[in-house]
Amino acid sequence: MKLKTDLRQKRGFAHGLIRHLPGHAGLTAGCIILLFYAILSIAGPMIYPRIPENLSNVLKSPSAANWFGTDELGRDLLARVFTGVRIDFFIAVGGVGLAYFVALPFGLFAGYFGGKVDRAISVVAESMLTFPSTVLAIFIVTIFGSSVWGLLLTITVTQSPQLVRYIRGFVIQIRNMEYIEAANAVGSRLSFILLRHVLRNTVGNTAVVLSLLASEAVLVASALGFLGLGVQPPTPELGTILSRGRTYFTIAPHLMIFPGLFIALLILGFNLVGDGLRDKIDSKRTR
Amino acid sequence: MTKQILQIDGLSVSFGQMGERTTVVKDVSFSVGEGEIIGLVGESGSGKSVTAKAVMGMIKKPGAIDSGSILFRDRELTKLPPGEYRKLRCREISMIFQEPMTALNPVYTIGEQFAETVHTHLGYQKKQALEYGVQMLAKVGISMPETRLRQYPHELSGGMRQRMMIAIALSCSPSLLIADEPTTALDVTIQAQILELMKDLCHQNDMSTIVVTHDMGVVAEMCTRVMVMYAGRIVEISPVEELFADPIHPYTGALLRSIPRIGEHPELLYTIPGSIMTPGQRHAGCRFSPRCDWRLPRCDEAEPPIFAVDGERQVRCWRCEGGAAHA
Amino acid sequence: MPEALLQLENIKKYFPIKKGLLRRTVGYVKAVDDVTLTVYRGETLGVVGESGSGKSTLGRTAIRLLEATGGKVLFDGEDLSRLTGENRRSLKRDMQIIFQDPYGSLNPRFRVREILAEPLIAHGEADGDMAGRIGALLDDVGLSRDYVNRFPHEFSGGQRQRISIARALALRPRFIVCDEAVSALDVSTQSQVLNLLKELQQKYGLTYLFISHNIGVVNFISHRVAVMYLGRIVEVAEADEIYHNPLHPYTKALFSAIPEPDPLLKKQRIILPGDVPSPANPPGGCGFHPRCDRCRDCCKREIPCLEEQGNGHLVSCFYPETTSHEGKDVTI
Repeated sequence: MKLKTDLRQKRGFAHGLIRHLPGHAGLTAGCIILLFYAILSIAGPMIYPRIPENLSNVLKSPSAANWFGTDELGRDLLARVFTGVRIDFFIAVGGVGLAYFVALPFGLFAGYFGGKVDRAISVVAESMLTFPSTVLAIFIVTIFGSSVWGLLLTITVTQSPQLVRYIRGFVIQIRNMEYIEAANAVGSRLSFILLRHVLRNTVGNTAVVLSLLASEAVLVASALGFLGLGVQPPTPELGTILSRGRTYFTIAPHLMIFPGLFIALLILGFNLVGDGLRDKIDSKRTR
Repeated sequence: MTKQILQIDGLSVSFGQMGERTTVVKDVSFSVGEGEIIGLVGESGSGKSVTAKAVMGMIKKPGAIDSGSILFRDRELTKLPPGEYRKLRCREISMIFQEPMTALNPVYTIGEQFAETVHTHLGYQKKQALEYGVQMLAKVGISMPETRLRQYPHELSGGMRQRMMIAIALSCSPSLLIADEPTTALDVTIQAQILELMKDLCHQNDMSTIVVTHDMGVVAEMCTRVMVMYAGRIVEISPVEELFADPIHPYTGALLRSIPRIGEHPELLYTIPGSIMTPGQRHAGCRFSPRCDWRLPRCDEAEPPIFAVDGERQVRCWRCEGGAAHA
Repeated sequence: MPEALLQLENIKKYFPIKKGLLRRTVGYVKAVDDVTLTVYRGETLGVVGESGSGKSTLGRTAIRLLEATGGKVLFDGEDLSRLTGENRRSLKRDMQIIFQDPYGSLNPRFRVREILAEPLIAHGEADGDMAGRIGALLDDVGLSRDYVNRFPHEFSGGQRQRISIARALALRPRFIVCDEAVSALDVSTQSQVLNLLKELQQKYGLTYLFISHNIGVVNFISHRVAVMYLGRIVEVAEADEIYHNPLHPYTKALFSAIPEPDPLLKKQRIILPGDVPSPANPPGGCGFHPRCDRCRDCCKREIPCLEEQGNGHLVSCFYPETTSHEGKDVTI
């Protein structure tokens, strides 16, 4: 009896979700794309633990045997791209995720307390923002090194200042709401107000910003790879694969097209999710 | 019998998407005579603002006029193309809004906004427009009009902004003015000024006015005839003295009794039990019946039509069937 | 002999106006300027005024939501400015506020039970029968206990205001400031909420400071009424007395300006010239003098004090109306 109602409830949830799809086509498409990349990131290296070289099969165009063609060492490009996705995805998601935890306290304090605290934090954040992300990244990666973790920390550093500014902005909006005044009137402690009132109301907007920063992070990460500052070969990474393809572009354009496409698609995925979330939040607000 | 300048018959407006439309105004019929000041009264959800906007042709998607006719000087407004409607607005029918700050564009000076209106509708050039502006501002009681014309909306007080809106609305000498909660956002002493001003201007220019409000005091001050709306329907139409002295529809009576009067000190105020039905809620009978003290079984079965009572009064209540003047 | 619960003595609240790159203070908005007022236990003191009168600021300063720039607040005889830290926070148990906006004053992401639990958590009363206490609060304000898990947007304006009232009652305060608590509600909802406030006052022996610009509402719920203009109190008297016998020219004009729901009442309206002045730039002397038809030289230079005219009726004017009681005989 209980199982039946459980199942019915589950179907109701999926049913409701599917019913809402047409209204959220972008969000759904974005989620599907990101899910695809997430699966690739986890499963890729398991499906292709080694990518064998085959010097008799170099620079072949896409065919039935090699869907994406082969590279200058005869390796299957599809296998390279599928395993290359993992680094960029991991760096983008991890880097931005870490940036959130770094930026959150600064954004909260700058927004809520204002005054000198705000000015101190904002001065630092804004100075960092005067550099374009990629330029800053090039500089930072020389400090942290070209390992995966080094790249992740680089992304964290480049995305944190923006995040601080965004969170600060959201907090300022909330700080002026009457329910914060009401919380003070009732005698709530500062920690309660910041964590329960302010934080919870920034979550929606922050999620949108995080997606958009993640899409930017993909660009930065693959740019670093392209410039040769990312992970070193033979570890596959979309940016380095792209960079390698430059030399052979005229005779084997597929070497640049496929990795480029996969970079663009990942960026698109994050953007669609970000836009979709923002639309959902806006529509809720106009209710 | 004065000439009717506006005649609304069976107007219904709904909002929503294909398949799921919600009726917010249903079967509204009334007329406005030349030079008459009438009140359209109701609380939130009554549909009074939507009705006013329908007359101005300002119902936008997802809203639409479902049925009914709006005759202005024998022209059918519901069938009017947008271009024609634009010409009509301000020249013949004008509207003033509740929030003068949001109704005026903050990046243009008062003079520029005034000039734009008179240029569009009367073809005045800049110099002529500004001279006319000075005249109109003086007419609505704004001191130092030349200086004011060069100021921005945020530099003026609430009362002055509202006067400004009235000046712009009246600039083309319309024959009908719709005032949507014109004094709600103003302080009491300024409200008094604006109400006096509006009454004077309406009488001077022989202009018909529809005052949309929830404030029964404003209605008593300004209007000669009153339409009471509830949940998208007109429930009572009556000359103002009779409405206050002897309200027929149970909602009108209850509303008047809920208002705290100065000088009276009841222990508790009279309250109307329950709350208003949302437009989406389905109910076969009268929309007020769940809250009505005089409910009959019939009231839950079918919605009453408007009955004529005592000559000029009209009431939408089953108790008034056959012209009975009692509810 | 009525006991004083809250005493405001020479309260001032000034907001600095900062301009320029270095944020220098160029002036002050004198929102509340030297207010002395007493609220007696169990009464409702109404405060009326227009925009710029300072009534909302006064309410917030009275419960120390804002810190007074000058003057003293005494609650139950105790000087509040002496209190610090924990004592100050625990004061909130006794003094609460209900805000005007039923939509802004509740966190849209909190469920009703979280909203009502917050005051209890803040003062360490979170253990014990929370569900029971929250349920009892909902009973008090006439809302069903089933609503505990709902969000604010699922309620109407009137219901949200009831939730705000329940929140204010959670700590069993003795004094509540109602800051335009019914102004955003429809007439029919207004009467429900006003009745509720009155019933709660009787049930729990509450004392209210009822701030509103709606004089009809204030007169219904208040025992005494204070009229504010430009940060100062111009008149205080019992509700009936102040309506039938206003002594200050502003009070007279204010009451005559209200449109009465009675078309047969042809009022002799006093229309005040000019606009309500801004508290950032108040006129010298008596703040009302530019709009007053009785204005004399001394009115422009000196500020009148609140003086008793008999029967607890206080006026701040050099040339008030002659009263029907014994009092000053003033000729114009």
